[in-house]
Amino acid sequence: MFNFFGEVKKHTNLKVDEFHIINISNKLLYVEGHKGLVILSSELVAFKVKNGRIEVEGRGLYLKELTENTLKISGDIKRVECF
Amino acid sequence: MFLKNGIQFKIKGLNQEKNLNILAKKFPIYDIVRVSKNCAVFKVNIMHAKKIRKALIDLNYEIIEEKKLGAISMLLRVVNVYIISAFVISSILIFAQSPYIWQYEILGEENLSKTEVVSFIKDNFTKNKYKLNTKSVEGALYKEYEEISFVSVIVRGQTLIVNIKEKLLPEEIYGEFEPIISEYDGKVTGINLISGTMAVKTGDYIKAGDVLVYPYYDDAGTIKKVMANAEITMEIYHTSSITHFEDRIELVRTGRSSVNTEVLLFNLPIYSNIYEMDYKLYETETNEQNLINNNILPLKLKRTTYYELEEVKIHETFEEAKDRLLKEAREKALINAGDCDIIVDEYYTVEPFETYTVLNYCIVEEIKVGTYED
Repeated sequence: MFNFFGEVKKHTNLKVDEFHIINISNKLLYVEGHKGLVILSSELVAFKVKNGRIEVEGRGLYLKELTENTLKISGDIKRVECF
Repeated sequence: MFLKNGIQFKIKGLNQEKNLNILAKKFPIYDIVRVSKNCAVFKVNIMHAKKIRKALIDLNYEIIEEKKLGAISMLLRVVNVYIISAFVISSILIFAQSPYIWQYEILGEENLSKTEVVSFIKDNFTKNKYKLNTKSVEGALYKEYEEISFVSVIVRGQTLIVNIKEKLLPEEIYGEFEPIISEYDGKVTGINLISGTMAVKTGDYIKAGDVLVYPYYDDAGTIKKVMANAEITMEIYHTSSITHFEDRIELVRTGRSSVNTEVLLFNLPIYSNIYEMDYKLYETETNEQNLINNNILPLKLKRTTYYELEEVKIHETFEEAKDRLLKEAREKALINAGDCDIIVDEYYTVEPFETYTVLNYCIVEEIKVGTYED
């Protein structure tokens, strides 16, 4: 039997299972669905995603915004690598 | 973020990434910069500041610096600084000014000048209201100004209030506010204005009939009538001129004369002794005298003397006649001067022409115009 409220609840508690990365002109990197910050320095920012880890290298890096699911990395981005 | 209200934290502690993750699960964090290994700076919304502060303390972080951000915070900070400084300055000023009189209010004046009364009080009395004796101000004002019949002085706050009741003086005392008018042509050399408004200034050349002092003054935009009163010194010029001819014909008495005698009664001749004479040119001198001292019979003796004249041609250069001409010209100028006060300067000019020379003589007199007290 179709459980309407169960379906709504499922949708409202929906966690972001995947991650999205948007790089804007190597100046700003927007990430959706991260699983936590790992390394933060002006040359390297690393964070966990589902089934892996992403490292951002650059100069003068800083986190413009950090929330539970999203983060914005600002600075002069040189390389983005997924492990 | 800048326009919003926020708080910037500078923290010191270990495991910053892990703990930032914990914080970020509860509150959004902005502009996270890792300054050093143990030190980071981040901003949060002012609404979450209290909770974040508590969380940081729970996580054993040391908050090195806490800074309010945002336009409103900045505005409030600036306003606070200004309000506090304005309050402090105004308190100091009020405290410093409180014993002093800062405003003068003159009430009830009609003919008196408000500014004159204020300047009199300012010049002669202290500004300290605790040291000022209002009774002595009243007395001094009463003595100084004849127009005052009653005066009261009180101090209210920082204002000195002078209430004046003027005497009702008849208009003739003020001369019906006539202007001072010059009777002479001349030059103004000195002015001491007592009341009224000057129409001329020192050095002005004026004509007879020109106004020297107007019978009013401008009291802060209000025109008030007042007796024109000033001590003015002027230089006026009295001139004469004599024309000298080098070759001229003068009539001179020859020495011959004849006397005709008449006896008059009621001015009618009743006896006459007249000689015939052959003088071509002559001049006469007449002399009358009463024969009887009473007026019952007014007999008069009229004696007419005829002097024979002849024409004599005279040649006299200007240089020869100069001293005499100067004397004559000066006498003529002095006659024009009338009752002379002070002679400041005298000079003459010579204008030579072909057949004659004109000598101009000028006496510069200094006179006093206006209301000098002798």
